[in-house]
Amino acid sequence: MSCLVRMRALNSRVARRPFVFYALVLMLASSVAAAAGAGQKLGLFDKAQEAFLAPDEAFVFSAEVRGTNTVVVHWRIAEGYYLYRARFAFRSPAGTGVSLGVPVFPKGVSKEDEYLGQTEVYYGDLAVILPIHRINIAERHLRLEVSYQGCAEAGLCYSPIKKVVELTLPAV
Amino acid sequence: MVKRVILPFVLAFIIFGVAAAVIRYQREGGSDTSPAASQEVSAGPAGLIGSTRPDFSLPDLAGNQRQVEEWDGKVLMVNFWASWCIPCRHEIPGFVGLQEKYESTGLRIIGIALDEQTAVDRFLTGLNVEINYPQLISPDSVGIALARAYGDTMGALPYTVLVGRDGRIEFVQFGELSAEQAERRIQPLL
Repeated sequence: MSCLVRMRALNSRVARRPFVFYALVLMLASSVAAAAGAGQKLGLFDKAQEAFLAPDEAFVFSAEVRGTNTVVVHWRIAEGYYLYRARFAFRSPAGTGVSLGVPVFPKGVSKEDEYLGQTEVYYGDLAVILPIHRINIAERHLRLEVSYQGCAEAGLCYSPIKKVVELTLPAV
Repeated sequence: MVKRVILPFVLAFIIFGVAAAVIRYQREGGSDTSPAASQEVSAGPAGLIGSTRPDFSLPDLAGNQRQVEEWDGKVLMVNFWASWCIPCRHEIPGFVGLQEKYESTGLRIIGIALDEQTAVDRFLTGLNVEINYPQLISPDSVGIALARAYGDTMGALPYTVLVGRDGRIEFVQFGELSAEQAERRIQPLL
């Protein structure tokens, strides 16, 4: 109740002296403008000033053995980034007891470029199925070398990335 | 009475408008509104801006070894690129225009292709633009190490470094750099 009375008194004072009201509006507006300026400096509003992701953050890589004769290679591709279908390579060093089959890719997205024409790329989650063949039936170890290359939609491409993973295979 | 009520809102509206315009101007770095997503790094990797540019010696397209010292005293723009990098392709025609425009006032653009010579030749032929600045080739780890020494800590392309006449690094950019953005950075150094 007393609060209402105080509010009415304030309204009445403001009505009598409109410059008080203008001053309040000015103060509020300048505070918002100052806060916005500070936010801009801190990068809170400026998307363009955000850093590009490091390659391993843009394309989070993992590989796991599934079943006795398959490896699933997985990428979690950050939003605004993509990987080229034509730039994947899988290799296992010669002389080991395991050879690699033909990788199975899901269908990608066709991307048009004025120089490259149509290229197939991947966004989001990507899983590639990689068949393996045991040359030596007792082989339980696979050294897998994977390379891939991708870009950010914002106009940046990463040099080809190479990963080496050591996987333990189940007995057959 | 109506004026008394409306005036504060009009005033507030104007102030907000001015604040928004200031923020927008700062964000876009002046009048340029292109390549919104490219990342200008005015500070760069720690200690890079203001440091002396690293030396290098690399072959050009004709196989002649070129030393960076030969361009000492000029405003040097070093652009790392590769044929597989689409944003790199987009920016090169603009750089050709800049080289032509500022040749007489001391700008020297250098392209460093982290690529095989055959891929570079094929790429440049396909651009349908006469390249008017030296293109150096470094297909091996030397080029990658050089880009890293110039601040490209992510191994990402395109990557562009602007060096002042005194040999100190003034500006670096990860990602596509428009001719307008580059020109705005180059002009004060000339």
